[in-house]
Amino acid sequence: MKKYVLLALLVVTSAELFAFCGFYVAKADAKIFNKTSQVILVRDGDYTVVTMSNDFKGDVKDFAMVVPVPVVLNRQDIRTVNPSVFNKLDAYSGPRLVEYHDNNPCYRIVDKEIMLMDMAPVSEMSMRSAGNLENDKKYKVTVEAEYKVDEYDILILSAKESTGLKQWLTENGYKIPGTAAAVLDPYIKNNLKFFVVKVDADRLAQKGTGTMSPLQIGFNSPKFMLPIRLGMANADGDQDMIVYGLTKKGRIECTNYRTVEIPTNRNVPTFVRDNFSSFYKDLFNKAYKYQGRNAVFLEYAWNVSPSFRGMKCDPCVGPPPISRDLSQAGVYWNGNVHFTRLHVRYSQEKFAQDLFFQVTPNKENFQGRYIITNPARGPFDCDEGQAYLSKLVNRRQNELSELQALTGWTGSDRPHYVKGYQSLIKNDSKRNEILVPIASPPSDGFLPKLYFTLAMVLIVILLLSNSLAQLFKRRTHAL
Amino acid sequence: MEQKNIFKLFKDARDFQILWLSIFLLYGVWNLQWNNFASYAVIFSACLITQVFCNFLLSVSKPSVKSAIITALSLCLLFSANSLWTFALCGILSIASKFLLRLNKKHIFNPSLFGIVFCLLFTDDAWVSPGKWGNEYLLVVFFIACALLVLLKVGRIGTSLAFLGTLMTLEFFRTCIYFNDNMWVFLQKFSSGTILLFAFFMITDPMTTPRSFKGRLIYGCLVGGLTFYLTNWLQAYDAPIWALTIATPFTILINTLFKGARFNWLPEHMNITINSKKQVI
Repeated sequence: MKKYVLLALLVVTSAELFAFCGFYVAKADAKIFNKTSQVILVRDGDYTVVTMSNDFKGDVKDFAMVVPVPVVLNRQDIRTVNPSVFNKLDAYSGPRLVEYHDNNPCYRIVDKEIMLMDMAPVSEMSMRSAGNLENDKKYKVTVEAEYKVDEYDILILSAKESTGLKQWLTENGYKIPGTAAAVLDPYIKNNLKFFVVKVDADRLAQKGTGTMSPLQIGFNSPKFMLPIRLGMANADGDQDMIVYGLTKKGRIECTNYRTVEIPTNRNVPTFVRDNFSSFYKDLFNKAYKYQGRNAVFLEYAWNVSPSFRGMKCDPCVGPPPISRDLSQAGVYWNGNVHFTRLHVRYSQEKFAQDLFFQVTPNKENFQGRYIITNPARGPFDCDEGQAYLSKLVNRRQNELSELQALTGWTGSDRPHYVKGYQSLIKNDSKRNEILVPIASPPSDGFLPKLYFTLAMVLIVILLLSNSLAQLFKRRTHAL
Repeated sequence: MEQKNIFKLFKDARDFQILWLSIFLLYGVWNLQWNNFASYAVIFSACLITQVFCNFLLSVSKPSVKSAIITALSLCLLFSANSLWTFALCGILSIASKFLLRLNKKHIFNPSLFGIVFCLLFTDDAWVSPGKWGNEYLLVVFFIACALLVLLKVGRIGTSLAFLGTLMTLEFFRTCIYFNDNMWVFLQKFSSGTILLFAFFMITDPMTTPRSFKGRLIYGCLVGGLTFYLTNWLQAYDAPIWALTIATPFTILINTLFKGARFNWLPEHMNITINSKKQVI
């Protein structure tokens, strides 16, 4: 019987065990989500290509990672790619803010919608973006292969038990916390090989760029998953991970956790433009808590095939990935490419298992999109202008409630957001009429849910009251 | 009169099934972002129309609307597709399979299972999302409580327990003993609504499972073992669906080995009910 093994990723350094599958240390400052790692998953049939972002900023001598793989990889299964591929995918799929402008009805300007894209948040979010032979035997660790790939020195190990592997790693200068060793056990029992990576400082210096390239590996295995448990072993608190899925068929989704859509197409106040990053950060935070802290969020899903002529986003926040980008990302076929961006915030408490995925034929488009509408400029003396003001005040009130519903921000630091326009309404009674307290608008799709519920209740009542049918029968008999 | 009606309502286990499945669906709609209402409408219409049409062709005076609704609800809970046509196809095939694929005056496949498997195999548009239920332990408890009411009523609890018992034992030995992993990993595997929906509502379908108690225990163990193999070796995340499909032909074999009385939903036919109760005991 063929035995399949897990793919797991673990990064260790002589200094500490990192986040992401243990893998990645994000610079805390410029990133909007702390401790965020990025990974590209390309999947077709049983073949998976995994690309791991790497912007390790410390001393390269301290860098090392262990990536358990299902098979002993061949040299041609391992390569490095250009780091820009992550920026490109991130910028293209990130949540976006759309801006519209109202026209002043008193000027009768020909209706013209100006649409701008605010790319700032996306760019800000670009984030996260061998021991001696005797000892090897003693610890039941075997060096299966040894490769040099650009600046990386790679060893492929197989282990028989977690304590042996742990000791081997410790003796060879890696520090593994005790809790991580406990998590290693299930992986070892699954017969996986450990792919140990170190950086050769000289070869890195020769490269000239000074930064390490993302490492890409490809292998055949029916298992389509990302190990997050090792990374959690040493982590305090939550970690964020962005997964870019590229497939031939359609969206990828998580099979052992719920995949939910991030709230989208919401009208928000204009001042969100100034701090969209923190807006989205708080929005995500709220959605994460609301969904029980154990959901995977969909942020983008679209057909991005270079040959596909249709719209790939609305609005697009950057040029679409071209064939070269996709092939850098690991796409090895020509034709359809479906791009899914998933955002997961995981913690030890809520994510007991690793993340397992499946490719679905789901081709529905999705993007995290937020809309601001700039008001027209005054004066609003004409009747139409006054009517516009009433509508505007209502709209702005709704935007504030929407903002509160999405992020918890009350907008109380912007007292003039509504009042500024309200005071321009000349008619006293109308002005006061609008002075209604802000009611939170029913969330998206409330009415369809209600109608569906009513329909279901009706069906159940109809079916269960078979007495009605009997009553009817008796009456017809009597007749 | 009123009392008699309530009594009657509780006599037919399908009423419970309809009630619980509707509650699960509404729970998903309100709490789990299940909002494909158009597909639900299409599934319901397709199932009902096919049922009425087939009954009309066979000149059956009283179409079994309840069974069609149960099938429709199961499909709404499990099945996903892009196109509404695929939903319609799935609904039509599910119900039509009851009339077309018959042996010994009994349909062979669980109707919703047949529809789902057919669409998964022969259209490039269908999928099942095992993760869509999340991991809510409260939901699990409610699920089991509801299911018990139906199963005790139908006398099919043995199948569920054999299935879950086999799967949990194998999974426990693999995860907790062999892998030396923690209990939460094991528990999270069984907090998925998909597996529970299968364990309690699909593999217990009295019409398509073996007639005798012994036969049903063997059947439950068989499906449990297959699910374990498919999940862990072939990485099939919708493993129970395939396990149940593979096990279906064995029902015929098991029925020839272990004789049992034919199941009837309503206890009007007292003789049959008494027989089947004897079987359960």
